[in-house]
Amino acid sequence: MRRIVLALAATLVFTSVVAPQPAEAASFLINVNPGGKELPLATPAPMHVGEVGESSDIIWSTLQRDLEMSGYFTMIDPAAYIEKNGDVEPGSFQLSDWRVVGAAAIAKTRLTETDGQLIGDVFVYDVGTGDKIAGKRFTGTPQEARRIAHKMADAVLNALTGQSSFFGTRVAAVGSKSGNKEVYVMDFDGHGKRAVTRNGSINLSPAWSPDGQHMAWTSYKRNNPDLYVKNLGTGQTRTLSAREGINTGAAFSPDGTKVAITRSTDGDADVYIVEAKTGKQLQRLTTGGGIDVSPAWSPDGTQLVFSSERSGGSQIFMLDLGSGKARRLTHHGDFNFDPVFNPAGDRVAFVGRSDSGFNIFTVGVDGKSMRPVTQDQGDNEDPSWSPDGRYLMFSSTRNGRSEIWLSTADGRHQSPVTPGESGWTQPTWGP
Amino acid sequence: MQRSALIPERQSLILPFMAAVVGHVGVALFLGLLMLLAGLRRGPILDPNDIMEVSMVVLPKTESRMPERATRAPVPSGEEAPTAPQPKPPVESDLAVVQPDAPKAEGTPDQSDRRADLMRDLRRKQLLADAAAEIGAVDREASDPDSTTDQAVNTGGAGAAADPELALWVQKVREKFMANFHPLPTIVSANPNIEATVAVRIDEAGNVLSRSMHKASGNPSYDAAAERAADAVTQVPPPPEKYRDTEHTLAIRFSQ
Repeated sequence: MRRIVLALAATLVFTSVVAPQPAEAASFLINVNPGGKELPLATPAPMHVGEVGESSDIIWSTLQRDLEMSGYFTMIDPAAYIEKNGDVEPGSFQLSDWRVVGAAAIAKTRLTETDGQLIGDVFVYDVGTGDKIAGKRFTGTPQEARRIAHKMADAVLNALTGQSSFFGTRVAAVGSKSGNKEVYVMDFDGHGKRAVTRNGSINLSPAWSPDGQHMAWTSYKRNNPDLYVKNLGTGQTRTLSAREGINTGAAFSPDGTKVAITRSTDGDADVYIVEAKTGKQLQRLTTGGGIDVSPAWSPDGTQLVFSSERSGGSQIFMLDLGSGKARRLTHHGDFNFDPVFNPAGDRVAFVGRSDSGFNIFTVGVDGKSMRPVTQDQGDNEDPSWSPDGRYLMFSSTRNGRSEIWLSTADGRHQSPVTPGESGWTQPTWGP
Repeated sequence: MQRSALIPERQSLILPFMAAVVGHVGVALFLGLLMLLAGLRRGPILDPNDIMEVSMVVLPKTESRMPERATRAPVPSGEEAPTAPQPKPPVESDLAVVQPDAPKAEGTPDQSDRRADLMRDLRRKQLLADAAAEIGAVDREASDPDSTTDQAVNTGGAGAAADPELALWVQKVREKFMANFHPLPTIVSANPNIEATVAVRIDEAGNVLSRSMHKASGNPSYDAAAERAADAVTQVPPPPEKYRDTEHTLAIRFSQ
């Protein structure tokens, strides 16, 4: 009996271990991730309720351009759309029409113009499920069509990415359309340009106050580079610094009470801090050792970055305002200048000269992980961060003329802000 | 005397032997029934419990395609294999361990094929474990934006997988599905660990035979994006020849 039990046990063990396995097909587990790609987005032409004038075209083109410039989306060519005049309400259109063209999401718009009011509705749909993700309404006058479109674009971006947009922000820049160099303010997309200066001279380096109410810039209107401040609300202008030599490179402190500037009163250009309201000198930050120019504040106001020739060629230095000690931030290249902190305060964008010309780079505040934003695309200068730190605006000669360009901070998605227009430099992103 | 003394002993072995045979057949039938039921119940292409175990595991069915881990001495190219001793005609495998012929007790089942299967399976598992470990590393690196894996695979540098051919194929397949994977960023950012796995059956040429959601994320939008990505792929590059089988199952895990 014992032998029978042993034999059965042996059989069971042997069978379970050695018995041939069923035919096994080769299997592979493969991980796939979105890879930071842009989302394919369709934005069909607005549906009209009643008569809608030229506002419709303005809204459609502005909406598309905003979303395209955001770098989050791949805009599907409207020529590929199957649905041409579908409704906007859920269930009133064929989702399959949008799946076929490869859209992951749709932003449908409806415009109503009545009693001098323009009403814009925007609906965002997930093409995969057909779910309505967002539905919002904006109103204004037909003359405010562009502003309404920016708001609609912001709603779409927020619904699909959870991020806030820069579509309502303004940019200051220097334009030479008039034959002189004047400071202008425009919407982030290059539309709605308004002149800040009209003195027929050379006006450079605009700088926003943190609240967006004031602008400082350098002007040669009295035949010397002096610094001025203008109240953008009242139009009142006053002198900030007009000492002998150069007065330039204004940068408002984060709290708006001080301005870092460059002066050459005592020979070499050095960095000073003056009071924003009065221009009274508060502190001289650098002395001798070659020129020190282009100061920019850290977001917390405890550091300044600037360009300096103290180590030979122009390099970026970071000055701790508490200790007064400066350390070199850039070690690659022989000519790096125009540094500016990102809003997070952990990276600095600057211009560097290389064999292919001037390009925008970013570097960590520890001086490590330097990354190019532009490469082999003409000369690229004057970097300025977006308020959220995800984008950079700069001037570029890649098309043979000086234009303003927008780029994601990693340089992956770039688009022109002033396409086809020449003579635009020194963009400065405002609040 | 001796002969007659052996007879009772032989007789005493018959009963356990018969029991073993009956037990063996019974257990085999029982296991076969279980497998049949499991197969019927399984329905979809992959068993939910199997899929994690086969992570990057490649199971070449035809042993002649196995790489150089043969137990036989290699045959110099251009020469014929030695003719003596005569090998058995290859039935399932020409890599089976050749066991010296041992005397077998009459009526005892021939276990040599099973032993060979076991040895072959162990060798295969070792090979595949090596490959899986390497490809696992590639997989992780591929999701790292700072990774230099592509270069390593292409150049055979220090970071190259043990089998660059397999790593390269995996990368090509991944890119096919990745190109069409567009989950909504809001869903992804709100659910950092979200993932959905779609089982894709392909033939040896890489043609997609069928797809099915194997493990849904629970988020309809994300699952729809994963299914759309899988639906958009009708063909992938065929697996490297040495891993090729008549049919494969790809568990495409859509994650972050």
